[in-house]
Formats: sequence, C-alpha cells, structure tokens
Amino acid sequence: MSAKHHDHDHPSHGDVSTPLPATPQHGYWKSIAELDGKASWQLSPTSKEFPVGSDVPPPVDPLSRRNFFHLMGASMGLAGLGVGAGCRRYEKEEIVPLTRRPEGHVPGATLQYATAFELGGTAHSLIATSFEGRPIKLDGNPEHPFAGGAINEQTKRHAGAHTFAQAAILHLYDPDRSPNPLLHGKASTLDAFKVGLEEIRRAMAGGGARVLAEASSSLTLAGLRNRLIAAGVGWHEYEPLSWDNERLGTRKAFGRPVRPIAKLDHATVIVTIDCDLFVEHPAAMKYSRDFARSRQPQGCEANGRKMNRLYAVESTFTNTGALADHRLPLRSELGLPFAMALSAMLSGGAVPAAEFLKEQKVAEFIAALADDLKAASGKAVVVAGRRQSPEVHALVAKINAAIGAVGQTLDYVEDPDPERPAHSASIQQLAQDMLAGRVNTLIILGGNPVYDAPADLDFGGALTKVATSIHLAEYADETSQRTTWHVPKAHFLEAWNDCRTWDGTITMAQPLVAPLYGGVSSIELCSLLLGQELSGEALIKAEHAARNIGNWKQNVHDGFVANTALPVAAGLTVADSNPSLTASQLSGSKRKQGELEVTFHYSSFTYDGRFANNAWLWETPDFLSKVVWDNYALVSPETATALQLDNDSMISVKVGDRSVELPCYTMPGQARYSIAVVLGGGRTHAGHVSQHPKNVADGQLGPRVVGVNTYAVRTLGSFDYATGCTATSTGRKYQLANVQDHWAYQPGAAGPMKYRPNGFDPEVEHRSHEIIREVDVAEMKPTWKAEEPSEFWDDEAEAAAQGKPARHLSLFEEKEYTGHRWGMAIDLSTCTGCNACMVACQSENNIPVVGRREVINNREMSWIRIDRYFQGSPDDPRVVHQPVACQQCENAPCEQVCPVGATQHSDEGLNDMAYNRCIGTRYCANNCPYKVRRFNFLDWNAEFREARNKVRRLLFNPDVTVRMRGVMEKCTYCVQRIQNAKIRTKAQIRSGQRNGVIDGVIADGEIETACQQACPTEAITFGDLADKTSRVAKLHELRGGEGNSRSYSLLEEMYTKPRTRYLARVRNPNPRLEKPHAAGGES
Amino acid sequence: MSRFIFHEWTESLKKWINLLVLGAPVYLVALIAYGVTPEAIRIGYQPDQPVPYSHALHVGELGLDCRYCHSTVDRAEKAAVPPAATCMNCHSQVKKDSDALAPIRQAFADNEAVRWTRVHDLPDYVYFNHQAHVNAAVGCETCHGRIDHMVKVYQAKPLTMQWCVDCHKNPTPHLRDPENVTKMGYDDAASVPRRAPQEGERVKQTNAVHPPINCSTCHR
Repeated sequence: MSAKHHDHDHPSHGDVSTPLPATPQHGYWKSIAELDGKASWQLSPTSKEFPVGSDVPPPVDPLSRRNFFHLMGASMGLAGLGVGAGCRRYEKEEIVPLTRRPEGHVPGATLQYATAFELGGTAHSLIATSFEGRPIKLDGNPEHPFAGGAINEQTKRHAGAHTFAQAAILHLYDPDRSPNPLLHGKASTLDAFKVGLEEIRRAMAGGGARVLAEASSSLTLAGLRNRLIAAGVGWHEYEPLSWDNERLGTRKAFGRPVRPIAKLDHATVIVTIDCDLFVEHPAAMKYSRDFARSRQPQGCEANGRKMNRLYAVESTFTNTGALADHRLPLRSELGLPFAMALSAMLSGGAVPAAEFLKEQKVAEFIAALADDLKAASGKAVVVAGRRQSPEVHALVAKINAAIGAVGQTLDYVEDPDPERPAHSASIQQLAQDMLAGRVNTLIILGGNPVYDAPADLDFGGALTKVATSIHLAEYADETSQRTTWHVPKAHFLEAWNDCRTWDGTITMAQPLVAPLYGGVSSIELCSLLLGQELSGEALIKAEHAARNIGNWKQNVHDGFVANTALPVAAGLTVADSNPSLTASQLSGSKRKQGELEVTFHYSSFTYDGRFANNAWLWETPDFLSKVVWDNYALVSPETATALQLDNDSMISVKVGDRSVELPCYTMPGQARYSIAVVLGGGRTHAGHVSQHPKNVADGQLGPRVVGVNTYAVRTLGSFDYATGCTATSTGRKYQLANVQDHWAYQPGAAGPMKYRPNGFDPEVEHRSHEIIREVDVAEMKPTWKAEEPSEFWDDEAEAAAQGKPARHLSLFEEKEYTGHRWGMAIDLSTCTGCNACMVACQSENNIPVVGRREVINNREMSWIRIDRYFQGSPDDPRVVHQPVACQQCENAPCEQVCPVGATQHSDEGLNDMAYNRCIGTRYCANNCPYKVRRFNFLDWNAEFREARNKVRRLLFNPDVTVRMRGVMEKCTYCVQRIQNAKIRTKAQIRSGQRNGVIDGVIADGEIETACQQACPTEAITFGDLADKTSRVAKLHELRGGEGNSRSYSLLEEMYTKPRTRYLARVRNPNPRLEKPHAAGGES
Repeated sequence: MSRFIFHEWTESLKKWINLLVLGAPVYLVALIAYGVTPEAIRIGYQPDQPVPYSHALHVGELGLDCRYCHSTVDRAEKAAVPPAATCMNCHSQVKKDSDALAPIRQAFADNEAVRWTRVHDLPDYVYFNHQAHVNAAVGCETCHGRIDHMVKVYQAKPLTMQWCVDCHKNPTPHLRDPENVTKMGYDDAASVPRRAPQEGERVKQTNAVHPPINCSTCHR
C-alpha cells in the first residue's frame, strides 16, 4: 500500500509545488488550565472522548405539589388523547388570510426594510427581515455609504452587522419589557401620564426642569432639545461608555472638537493605543471592513497597496490586539508617556523620563514603531481609544500630523454638536444641582443612571431631592424604581428615528411594527413635554422640512440620506501640548499592592449593562476570555501568581475607598499590574433572564442576578481607569462558566505542559501544525498550492504483478458530485473574532439558549463556535480566532454510525440532518472529529410554551424547524437559504423572468449563509465549488495563476474531505521586532 | 443443583407468555392494519369551514381557474387562501344577500379575518413549496384530487413521505404541459385538453425536472 496525492487538474505553477508550510515556533493552547493540565479533558481519561457533563442527569426538583399536578395533568391528557382525539394526527390548524391583501403582498414571503439601531449615540444601518409583519432578523445595510462597499470584486453587496445590533432584536419580543407606565411603582396608563404631564409642564415653566438624555445622534431630538432649552429646560447628556475623551483631546489640539475618522483601507501601518477598532469603536463595522480591504495578503485589491501592518498597545486583550502583528501589553495609564515618547521620536522633543520606556522590550518596540511610521509617512495612522485621556488624544493628533496622515489615512470631520459638554462633566453638574435642590423636575430619556452613573455622584440618592422625575425606558429598571413616573420606551423597531453613523451620514430608522407594549419614543416624549402630541413620523418630517432634506420616500427606502456625511474640518493646526506626568506614570514599571491599575471594560454580553436581559448575548462567549453568563476581573498571569489566584478564585478590587468582590479570570497577555474590570453585570431590575436560577451561580454574592455590579467602584475620578488600587484574594471560590476547553477536538498533552522559553512539549506543538496555520507575508511563495487529501492506494508494482489496476483504498463509499458542490472558505487573516457570525447563526437557525448551569455541563448549542488559541508565552501571547462549524465532510464519519439514517449525504455534498428521524443515540457526535454536533439534552424550548413567553415565538425563523428534546443538530450551511434560492432561480428561469439553465449554476453571491452575511470582513465565503469562477472555488484552490494558496482543511489526515477549508492566517511582522521564520522550518 | 434455575412461581407465568406469543401477531396485524387505514393517514379528512364554499360550483361548474383565488401558487411557497376581498369581487354583485355568505360580508365590513380550517396539513418539520411544484408543471389535482368535484374540500391523497418520495423518484406520470397545470381531470378520456402520449417524458426534458430526494429537500 502506498500513499499518494490525488491528481487533480491543477494548472502548473511553473516549478515545484510545495504545500503550505506548517507554523513553526511554539504550539497553540486554549487556556491556562490546559497549561496546568487541569482542562476538563485532561482530568479524566474518558473526558477526552466524552465531554464532561454528558452523563449528568437533568436537574429534577423533588416532587413538589406543582410538579405532581404537572405529571397528573400530562397523564390525564395522554389518556384523553387516546380516547377522545382518537386518530387525529395533528392539531387542528387555522388559515387566517388578511381581509384585504395589500397590493404586492405575498403571504408567507419575507420583506426587507431599511432601519437603524442606535448604540451609544451612533447609528448602525440595518436591513430588517420581516415575516408577515413581524421582524425576525437584522443584517447590515449594504447600500449605506458608511456600512457597505466592496472588499472583494465579487462581493459588492455586503455590509456585515454588529453583534449588539443583531442581538437587539431579541428585546422586541421580550415579555419583560414594561407594558405600561408606572406611577410611584404602581401600574398606570399612558393617558393618566399625559394628564399628569400637564401639571409637570406647569411646574417646568417655573424653571428647575432638566432633561438627562442618553447619547443620541438624532437630528430631530437635537431640534426638540433646542426648543426645550429655549423653553428654559436644562439639558444633560450621559453615556457610561463615552468617547468624549477624543472630543476633549481634539479640542486641546485644534481649539475645537473634531472627530477623527481613520481610513484604514488606505493605511499600511496602523497603530492603536488602548483602542479596539473592531468591536468597541463606534465605527467598528466600517473599520473592520476597511481593515480587511488593506489586509489582503495579495495586496489591497481595490487600490493595489501592500498588506497593512497592525500594532496594538493595550492594557487588556481586545479583538484588535488579537489581530495585531505586534502587541505591547501596557497599563492604560502608561498610554500618555508612550504617546509622548512616540511623538518625540517622530517630531523631535524630549522623550519623557518614564522608567518603563527603558525596558528593552518597550524600547525596541517603540523605536521600531517610530521608524516604521516614518517610513510609511502618508500611509500610516494612529488611533487612540476611549479610555485614554484627552492629552493622549491631543498627542495622537500631533503624531498623525507628523506622519502625514491627515487627508491621507485620516479625516477630521466637524463635530455634530461642538458645544455639548462632556458626558461625565454633564452628569456631575446635574447631580450637584439635584443635591443642591436646584432641580424640581427631571426627565430621563433612556439610559439607566441610577445603575451606571459614577458611584461618587450617588445619583439614586440625588434623585430623592427631585420633586418629580420621569424615566423613559424599555424596562422598569433600577432608575425607574426611583422615579415618580416610568414610561415605557418604544423599541427601535417600533419607532421612527433619524440618527447619524459615525461619519455623520443621516440614517433613517423606520418602525416595522406598532409598539407591542404601547411605548413611546424619545422624540415623542419631548414633543409631549413641549405640549404637542405628534407622532415620531410627523416630528421627523417637520425637522427634515426645516433642514431642507427632501426625498422622504427615497430616504426611508434606502435607510439613509445620501451625501450627508459631516464636512471635513478645514484649517486645523495642531497646538503643541506639554502634558505633565504623574509619579506613577514616571516611576518604576514594578508596582506593588495599592499601586495597581484598574481599567473599566465594556461587556461583550451587555455592553454597558443595557443588554442584561439578552440571553443570546449572555450565552455568546466573550471574544477573548470565552466566559459566558458573568462579569469578572481580568488579571495578568503574573498578578495571578502573586495573589495565588486560581481559575476559580474571587478577588476583592479596591478602588479608592470603594471595593467590589468578583470572580477573576487570568487573561494571558493582560498588562502587568493592570486589572480590567468588566462592566455591565449585577443588574437587579433587568428582567427574568438575568435572574433565572439556571443562569445564576449558587455561590453568587449579593443580589441573585447574573454578574456583579462593578459600577460600584467607578467614580468620576476613575471614569476611564483608576490608579492606586488594591486587589486581594478573598479565598472564596467561584466557577466561571467558560467554554474555552469545550469541544477540544485535537487535545494536546494529557498532563501539565508548562511553557518553556523555547517551546512546549512536542505533542502540543504537533497540534499547531494541524489546526492553525500561520505564515508571514514575506514567506509566502507563489508555488504553494492547496494541500490535497492524502489517499491510500494499492502498491502499484504489486498490483501490476498481479495484472490488476491499483485500487483506491478508502473506508468510505465515495460519491461523485455532478451538480452543485457547496463549500465554504474561512480566512483566518481577517477574522476579528467579533462574534457577529455566532449571533447571526443563532437568529437565523432558531438556536436555543441553555443557561449558565448547562453551559458548565458542556451543553451549549451554538452551531458555530469561535475557537480562540493562544500561542507563545502566557505573559505576552499571540491569539488566533478560528470559527468552527460543521465542516460538511464529503466522507462524513458521523453518517457512518447513525443507526437510523437520520444524517445523510445530499447530492450536493451537504451533510443533511433529519431531526424527525433522530432517536438521540449521540453516536454521530462522538464520531465527529471536529466536535460540531450539538445535542438537545433537555427541552430547551419548553419555556416557549409558557403563556408569558408566547410572544417570543414570533422571533422564530419560519424556515427552520424548532428542534425538540433528544435530537441532534448542527450547522446546515443554512440549507433553507440554499433551497429557497434554488427554488426561486428555477421558477424564474422556467417562467422566463430570468435567463439561464434550469439546473445550472446559481449566481455566485446569491446565496449567503447567515454567518457570511453578518461577517464585516468577509472572512467567510460560501458558494458553489462546481462553479470554477465562484469566489469560494478560487479561495479553496486559488486557481488562475494567483498562487499563494493558503487553503488547508482541518485534520487533513483523517480523509474526511471537509467542504469547509481555512485560509492560513498571514501576518506581517516588522522584521526588526521579529525575525521571520524560514518557511517550513523548525524552531 | 436445584431443578429450577428460576423461582418456582415463575412457572405460573408460562401461560401468560404463551398468550403473549400467540397474541403478538394478532396485535401487530391489527396495529399495521390500523396504521394504513385512510382514517389514520387522513385521506378523507373533511373539516367544516366557516363558509360552505363549494369548489364543485366555482371550479367545476363556473370554471374559475385555481389561480384566480390562490394567486401566489406559482410564485411563492404558499398558494394563499384568498382574502375576503377576493370573494367580494363577485359577491358584491352576485348573491349579495345569501345567508351562507354572511360571514364573508361581515368580515369584509369589519376588516376581520375569516378563520378557515386547514385541510392539507403537513408536519411542522416538512417544508413544501407550491412554487417549485407548479413551475415544474405538476398538476394541482396530483396532490389535491378532483377539487372540481368537491362540494366540501377533503384530503384526497395520503400526503405521506412515501407518497412524496414515490413521485420525486418517478415524476413523469405527474408532469404535464405547464399551461394545463390547473386543468382538472386531465387524464380523462373526455377531457379537452387532455394528456398527450409521452407528455410527461417530454415535459421532464424541456422543463429539466430532476426532483431531489435528499433529506434537506423537505426537512430543514
């Protein structure tokens, strides 16, 4: 027997083709626990095959009275069914047609509308899919000038959608949303509120009335604000995760606030200082797409530029740091001396005498960075983050001027609201006035200041000094508990809005349904305050008329008003700034207790706390820590060792004289002496999701809700980060629900595998070659071709001697595919790990949420997971994100073991799953080498049968079966989209509406899987491999002389022939900071 | 060694076991017989409807085309039960005082929906698409039977998976010229137009009908 490569019709690349080299250097690892030999699959010999928790019985409460009646009822029901219902197979169903069908309405067909979601005062332009009048899915708006635009020639219609924006649809059908106004906590009506408002308006006229609004970019709200101010009402704006430091910084630098907007697609060197470009930044989606444009290893397709290089300087790991070619973990407070040093090196001046700058690693980094920036003058850009002080932003402006970024890779646009005071100053002023009794009426438009205002303001206490207060909010939350009135706020899919994306483009939001719970929008409430009762639509139309914005219908249809981006600011000159450094910024890089730094980090689950009742987000693992259902403190491995912290320790973090106790997670790559505290947990009045016992840990301190309220230690002085902090282990234990060691399909060493300076155990290193491939751009060779699956054949000489042809030996019955061959390519080079695909999949495929307790039992249901691998030393590792869904193997091991044929191969190469046939043996999941099959251990959808949850069923995608207990499920490549596109195309050709061959190819790009559609960087490509011109076919093999094939498949040696292939991650390191490895070389 | 491996009292079970063994075939035959009765597979299911709408009258006698009411059948997944407004197109003139039509008039006046009872009901995990079948030129009567003879609509075909798959494996007998898709009684000798010899084979070629029999064809 001999092994040889299958001979495909590869065009010759001229000389010898070599496979892509395996990544040299050190192995990859998934968690500190794995390094310590304590990952779940390392703890017992069986858990390598069967995940922990796969034999845990479902939690059964003792036979309570309630359960007894439950069971009795069920048995009576069954008996009744046998006798009475007799042979009826299905429930009687009704067909309820509209009485008058609107023209063009097709029952059962989905419609799409442009709308917008506002997060933290920035719009995200969206396309909402509506089924029979109910929105079921949100996607990016590909036509929006700031959201869409091509990355690749063949994907002109693509936008991507932010994780939070996609998940926000879940709140529309949330039965916890407040159904009626509350007066002193008692149910009231909107009419009663309007009557009560008359009195409030009379009191307002006497002065002392204030509005506290969450950030909004709405033009109409701004117009109403001006009218209210003219009527003597004071206006304050507050956002807990504010980007105001950037405004203050540019004001310092230029004399007036302007907004820097980087043009990453034009940049070859990108530097971030404590800034996450890809999730947290208000322009995250745009930046992701622009970054992907200039991150193509073959050069930027659009403008022929070379691949960009990304440097990240940050205190805690972000998605940007994970994608960076060079990352420097640095405490947030050191951002200022770092920026000063960089500025000095670029435009002259003295490098500050800060001690950390003398460390060899930092010194080398900053010197190489400065030279690289100089060399890339006009093609480089520096971006600083939300947490960095105004001084840093001013310095960054100076640096950007020095490297010729302005106009090239960076535009400064005029601030839409230059006079607005900073958020923290504004709420401080308000709180002081409230305490001093200068406020008698307070109207709070959205937000939740009692929960998220700086703790030293004691906003809740100050509210008691206000005679009348009104809170407009979707939920009767912490703030609503303290105000006189609570008024339900309309969900963004129920209201009109005209907000701006980060570049200023006016983005239209239209309601898709009438308010389900009778809410009103912010602009409607403002109109009521002004004594008029106008609809949101009328208000916006009036505002647009006043501003001469025409084309109402066109704007609503498109979702934006064309050519309304903010004007580029002209005549800017950078003022020189000379900030002074504090002692802790200057002094040693060694810190001790009482000198630690605490930074406040947004939550990947709740953002600032607002999504605390969003089960999708809670169960989508954090980008880097892979924790679900909690908030926690991130400590560096060094701190963890110093404080003797385990993976399940609780720590007490003391900021000033306030402290909070919370679980900690040891984050490899966390800056030393810096602790990142995640905000957004511990919401006491968020709703059922955050209070459900299955989501709350048993050892939870304080209120029994998900997470801990960390705003308790965030004060005005420590709004961005705090210094002089203390962290101590409290000795208490707490298990974070973490999926990082779940679905370990190619486990490494069985025992501990302590990192050694020159690498790991060979077994761990071995893994890296098979699962993750990385290559430096300088090492790429035009001769690479995609690796073919290894095949086994009869020994040719032996066969010839016997006079027989050599046979292909395979364990599988292999099929020939004559029609469509669906396939997918995932590019690790541009995957930012932003979770957009996970939420999109959840929304598209009706994937249930299982809750914290069951995640710990390995029972999460996500069809696509994003594996996060660390590489190198735990103190400063590199990170690779790898999305893994069903690989749709042509030789699928799962199919071989199903005793009932519930999983079968289709003619098009899909690994089909027939839920109604599955009897739940779980053999397929055990036999799946990629561990992508998910089993319904319990009836996850049981809660949808509760009366209060019936409304939530409206969100289900009608094209996908809702699965029952006891069946297996997995990624289907969104087969419902494939089938519908095929049916549509065939019908159109047959009826003459479209030219083409009935059974021929479907236009490339016509079918997008949900994950692909959501991906802002187009890292996921789906299509027909049978169509040689399709993008996916090219990516799989890169035919047509492009060379440089980066395509490989997971576990190639198993000969499963997966239809999903990965493209090796290409890095672009600075040769001065890292010597490129010899291709295929060993470390 | 004792005579009994099992306890002595188990001897008394023997007659019961015999009874079970003898009874099993009877039980199985009865079960299977019941399973294939039209009742169990629902052929003939004929629920009452809020309005005694007669397809026999409208289609059979008056000759309305199916697509006059089921207007999306060739361009969407659902054939669509018509809105009350469609009824009123004629019945605002014809039989406008009929008692039987009162619910329609009421619904139209109040803008309240008429609640029809579904006759052809597939399981929730089955995705059937009318557009795909009508455009492939499968006649309406193939699945719905002689609607033009039904005073009150009933289920004429089994709608079981086997029945679906049989046709997907051999669609030829059920294909016809696309313009005759809605024609009832197409195979009758007296029908005009009627099925031509080799028509199914010809349509299968020209229309490129290759029905898939993958799981995901219907189950998603």
